[in-house]
Amino acid sequence: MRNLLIVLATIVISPIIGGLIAGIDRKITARMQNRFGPPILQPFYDVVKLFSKESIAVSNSQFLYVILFFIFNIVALILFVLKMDLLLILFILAFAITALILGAMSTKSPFSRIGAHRELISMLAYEPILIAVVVGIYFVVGSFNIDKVLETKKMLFVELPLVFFAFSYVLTIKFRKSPFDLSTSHHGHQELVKGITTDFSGPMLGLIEIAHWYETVLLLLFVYLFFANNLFIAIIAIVACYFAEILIDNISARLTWKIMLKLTWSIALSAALVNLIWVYLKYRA
Amino acid sequence: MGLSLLLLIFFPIIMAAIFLLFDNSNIRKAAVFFMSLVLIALMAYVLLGGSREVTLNEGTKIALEYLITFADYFLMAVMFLIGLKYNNKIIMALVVLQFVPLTIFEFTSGKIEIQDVFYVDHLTMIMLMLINVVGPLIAIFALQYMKEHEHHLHLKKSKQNVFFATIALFLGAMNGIVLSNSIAWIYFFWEITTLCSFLLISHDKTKESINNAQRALLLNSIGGVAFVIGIILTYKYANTLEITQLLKSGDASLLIVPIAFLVLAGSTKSAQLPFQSWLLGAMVAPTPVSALLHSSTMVKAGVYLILRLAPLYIDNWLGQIVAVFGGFTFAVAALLAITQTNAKRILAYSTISNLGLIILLSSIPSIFAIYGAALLIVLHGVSKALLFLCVGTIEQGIGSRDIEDMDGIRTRMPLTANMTILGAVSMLLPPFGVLITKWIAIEAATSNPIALALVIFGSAFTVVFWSKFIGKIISTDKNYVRIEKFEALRHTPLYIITLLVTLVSIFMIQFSNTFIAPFIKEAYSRFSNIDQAALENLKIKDFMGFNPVVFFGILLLSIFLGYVIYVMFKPKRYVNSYVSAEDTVDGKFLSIKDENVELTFKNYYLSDILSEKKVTFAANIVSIALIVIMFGVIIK
Repeated sequence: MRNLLIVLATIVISPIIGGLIAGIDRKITARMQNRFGPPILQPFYDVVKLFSKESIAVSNSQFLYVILFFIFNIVALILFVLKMDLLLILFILAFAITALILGAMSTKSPFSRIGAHRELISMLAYEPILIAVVVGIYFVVGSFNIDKVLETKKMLFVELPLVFFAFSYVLTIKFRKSPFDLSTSHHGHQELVKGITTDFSGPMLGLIEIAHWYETVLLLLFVYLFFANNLFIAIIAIVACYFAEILIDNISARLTWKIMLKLTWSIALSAALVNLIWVYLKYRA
Repeated sequence: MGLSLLLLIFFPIIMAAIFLLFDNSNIRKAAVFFMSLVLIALMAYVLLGGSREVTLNEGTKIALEYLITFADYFLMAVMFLIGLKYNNKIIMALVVLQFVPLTIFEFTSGKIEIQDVFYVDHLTMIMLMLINVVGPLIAIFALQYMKEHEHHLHLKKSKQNVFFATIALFLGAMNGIVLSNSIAWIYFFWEITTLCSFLLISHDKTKESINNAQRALLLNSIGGVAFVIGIILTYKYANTLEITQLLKSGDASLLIVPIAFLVLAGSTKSAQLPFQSWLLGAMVAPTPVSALLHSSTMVKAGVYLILRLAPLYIDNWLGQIVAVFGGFTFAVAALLAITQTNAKRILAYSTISNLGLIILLSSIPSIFAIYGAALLIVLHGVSKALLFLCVGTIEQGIGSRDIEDMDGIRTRMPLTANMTILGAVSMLLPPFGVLITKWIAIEAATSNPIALALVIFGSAFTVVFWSKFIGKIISTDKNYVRIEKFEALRHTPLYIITLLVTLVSIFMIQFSNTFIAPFIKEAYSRFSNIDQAALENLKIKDFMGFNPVVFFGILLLSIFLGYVIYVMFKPKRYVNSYVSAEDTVDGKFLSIKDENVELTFKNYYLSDILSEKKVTFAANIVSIALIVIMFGVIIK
């Protein structure tokens, strides 16, 4: 019963938080660019408007993939609040994004297909790092289960600073912020148009937007894990982390996927691996 | 009971003679169905009998021993003649390298007493199900396929009699491998499968197919030599060749050197790096052959042997190195699959990669890992059978096996395309089982950091090549015309295998408890550092919190929810893709001089940063190094 309430609360509250974060993001971005910016509630207005639009599609099967993307983002988040296995959550998250990729590939538009392939390459870049993050947590805690992670007295950040760095590196890709907004971008009409979401419109695009809000909350909860034993520090860390993402977004231009792959694997992955080696020697060897 | 086991081995061999003698398509059809029914019935009967060691009466046993010894030398003679015919000196040398030690061994060791001829445990049962259910389905599919295949080749005289005879012989030999208790007998059936694969790969008798068949024979003969050394050394150290005796014997570390040779033999058969090239070459064969080689026969014999012997090495150094060896193949083969456009090559690399994962899982001392290994043998078997048969059907439909030509295949060949999607999804996404085994691999490999890193990379690469593959198949294009009709002989086996793929995934837990848990209890009761108490009460409720039934439930629920959302926001209007240009009709756009340009988009194959040749070259060197390290560590 209690679990059911938690699940319901998660489903209702997370998109509100996610939408607010998106609104604040846009406001801060605007201020950084010396603009006034939209109201904080703008993302909600946008989504409401999307849902009121005429439903236009390129093919029927698109819907299936969007819905799978939507639902499996929620499932991943629910698994997190129910304190289940971290690896399972990563796999479900990967499944969600795969669904969106397939949705983009099921249409004929070269823009959406380029977006889909860039998203695939992004996955290639960040997936090993995400798994490395989870394995790092395992090495310290001795379990993949979130409830065990939360029970530990240690602050994971202290044990896994480089892993945390790698994770925040990956967040830039996951949030699709510059310099890694390869697959889709909120900023205007660039060389890939809207990339992976080119052929989605109206309610379908609205669902994708809401799914991103869930995803945002989930990713920030991952940040929370690193500071779980102190709520105050955790909140500061989350805010700082997200602010850093906005800042980087605004001071950098898009890189090509090759550079992204090289940078991610050389900098972030090696940092994570170095950290993994020492926690392995410390706790598991 | 002994009779039913003998029949499982010899009935298909008798049928092979019938196929060979009666070159008539109706008789052949009837014979394939008859063989399928009998094999499934025999298998069911053996399964119901439970796990046991089987002795034959003295007369039968001795007759069988003479028969096998005689046939063994006959087989070597055949292989030597093949080498002679194609003037392939390495093959001849490898046959001699098997013949000489084996003959000396037979003469010096005197009579090797074998008590229990056959051994049926739950691993055997798992393999029997795979061989005798998937194998016949592929044979039935081949009836229609081969007719069309020969039609394309414009043959004057059909060679289908040889083809089906070889397939029947192959199934009999596979049953022999998994039922035999003596490793000398396993070696005999092992060599038959090598010969069968040579015959099947060279079936079309083109220059390319003959070359590739020779390569398969050559690489597998290296495995044969390793096998012979393994047999001789096993007898030297353990004074027995019976698997049941070996598993019961006291100190397993004594056997580490012979086991290493047998593991090497297993990895040649399973096309592990650096022996992968024979399986890639095998693609030139007609598709049912690929389906057979990849799912229920040949490559599975290799991982079967390794999983069978795993209790003997899992808790020492050898296990750790074999795990790294398997993990390396898992990662590199998945990476190579990204660079491929040829659907059959993608599937082949994916098989090599998955077999690497099975070997890795077999070599990690954790109950979950062994679960994963046994489960993946089955899951991979059914999914790959489906995928190969689908790709074969598509190839006959559109005349190409390049995935770049498969745009809009769902409009052209909806029946097969949808099954292809299901097959590919089952290899990648939840709630299907292959993902669970990857997950198990990560959790279990935390005890072996190098293997762990390899699993992490391999798992990321896997996502990329499967998504690309699926993405091509699902792309819709209404410009195409449907070219596919329902054909009973071709589509019924496909539907049945599709059903199997789904059922195996839904009932994964029940399957594990019925077949895999008893296998682990039997095989690992004495060895390895697996917790004995946990072994006693081995019963699985879910996979680390993942229950497939629940997840299929979630999937069904989301499809229902999806339907509701769909009805709410049903598209009112269908439009063409947005192309950011002056649209004309049907996704074409106006270019210079108002020319209509067709939109095309090709997948990324990362060809400018990854070249198959270079990666293969480097990977072969590393894997040879790993093998050298393996022997360096264990030989004292």
